[in-house]
Amino acid sequence: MSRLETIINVLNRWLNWVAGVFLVAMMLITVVNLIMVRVYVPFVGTAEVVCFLAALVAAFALGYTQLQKGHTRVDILVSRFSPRAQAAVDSIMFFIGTILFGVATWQIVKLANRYWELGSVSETLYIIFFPLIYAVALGCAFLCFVLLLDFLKSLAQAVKK
Amino acid sequence: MSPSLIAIIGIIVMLLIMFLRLPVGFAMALAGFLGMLYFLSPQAAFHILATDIWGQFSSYGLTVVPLFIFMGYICFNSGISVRLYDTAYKWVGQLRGGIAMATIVADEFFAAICGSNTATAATMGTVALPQMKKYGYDPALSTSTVATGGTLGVVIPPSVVLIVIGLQTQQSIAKLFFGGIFPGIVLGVLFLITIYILCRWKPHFGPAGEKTSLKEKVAAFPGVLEVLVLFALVLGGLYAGWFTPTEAGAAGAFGAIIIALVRRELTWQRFTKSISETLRTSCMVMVLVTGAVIFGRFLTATRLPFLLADWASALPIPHVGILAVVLLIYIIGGCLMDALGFLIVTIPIFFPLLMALGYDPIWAGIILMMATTMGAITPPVGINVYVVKGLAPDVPLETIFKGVSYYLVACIISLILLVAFPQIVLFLPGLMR
Repeated sequence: MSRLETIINVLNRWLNWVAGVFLVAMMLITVVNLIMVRVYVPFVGTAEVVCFLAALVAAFALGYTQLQKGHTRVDILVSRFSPRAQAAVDSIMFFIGTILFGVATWQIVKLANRYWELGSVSETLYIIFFPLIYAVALGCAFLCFVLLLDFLKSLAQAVKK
Repeated sequence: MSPSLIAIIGIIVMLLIMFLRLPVGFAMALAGFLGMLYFLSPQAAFHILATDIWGQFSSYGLTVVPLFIFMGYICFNSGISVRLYDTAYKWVGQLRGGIAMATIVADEFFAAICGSNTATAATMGTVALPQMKKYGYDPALSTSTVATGGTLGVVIPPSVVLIVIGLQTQQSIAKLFFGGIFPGIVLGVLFLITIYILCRWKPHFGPAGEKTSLKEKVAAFPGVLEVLVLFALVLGGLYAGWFTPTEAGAAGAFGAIIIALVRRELTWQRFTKSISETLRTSCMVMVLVTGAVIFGRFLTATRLPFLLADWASALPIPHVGILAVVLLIYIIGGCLMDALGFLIVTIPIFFPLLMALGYDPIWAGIILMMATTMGAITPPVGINVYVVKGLAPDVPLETIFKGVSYYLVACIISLILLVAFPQIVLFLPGLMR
């Protein structure tokens, strides 16, 4: 378990740093374009690139945010339960979350496959963007792994003698 | 089963799993997905789940979220707050309750560059709490001032909550930002009046600080200059139509980095910390918004929000009575769960209702934001109170909540003022093209 935990932690931390690089890139591209609009000509497709980068920022930070318990939760009811009951409830909820994001990953991969088959390109830059949809699916899959790990940890705590 | 009943069951399921600690964004996405699975078709539900996640994450509207949050965290981590507080202290610190007043004044300025209430409370808390302790302030006043002043962070633009409201209701984020300026000032002034009355009533609550000369007051002004420059850049650019909100966020974040670098206050460690915190908060907000969109699609398919709006607007009671009930629901909801989460969950239900009653959408957005923001300081889940508790572990939670109760009167008065005088909100957006 601890080995699995380490692998998931390290992978999510790396992905989070990639998201950080994209965040800074989003800011810089937008600012440089703002300057270019005034001094020369705007970069074509800036908005499109920023949208794609934002998608990667959000998707790549999904797992690490869950590792940090950064997704908003309502604590008011379950925090009054005993530690074992809390672990039992959490294990069920983490399992449900794992299934939800498992389904989401599968469906986003299918969506990317469809765009690939259709040969769809973006509206302004005419670039293929299905690899980015696969990247979002990867982010969801990493969140799925973290939720699975949380499920296993809560379950172990709930059944501990 | 009727569509309305399916929608109500969907809402109950969502609340149930939410209160069983499934993250709010996940709970909304799951309830919406299951609802569509039953009400529409499995094929439609699977398709909407995938397209909404991709569609929201890559939408231009949402790109504004990480950029404004980044700007706030750069300011938060680079020590701007220390200078702000120092200036505010020199201006009003010598009055009775003056250090608490200085905290509120500094909050007003910090809120103009940071859109988060917790970041505002944490920033000012680290600077103001030791000062107030040094001058023998009552812990109830000192801690509650920091917690309550933090709420100005989301009222005064740029504000993460207003961005989310704009995205969810398809309203102009720029107009919402301008709509929040006067309410933020009104709320800040009401907080200052609260401190004044409290310290008249109980002088031991907030003894006066050291006197400062007029020369010192004038000399302290540059402490707020950089904040004014950033605020003018972001809001001025939006007002003049030079920037889209996304561009304003990027320019603001870039400007904050430049200011922090010039001041030699941005180390590599602080920069990476700002990025890490930005990613966590942005991801949380984007998941919440995406979950709300999926849940909103289910509710729209069942037509419940429209039926509710028609029903409520036909009720034989004044519209302001219905508005009062809605605001009460928001205040109570803010007590039960995270304010932003509650707002996102309920906007698909209550915003159409307020529109059916004939209220202005910008005004409605600001009013809902003000009502929900009170949730950040009300028990049992007032997030700002817990932030302050973390900074002042020796002060019991009850003491902080007791102090906050004085300020809640000011919050309710501000709501009444905004309802009675909508122009407080609508004047500035009305000037925009």
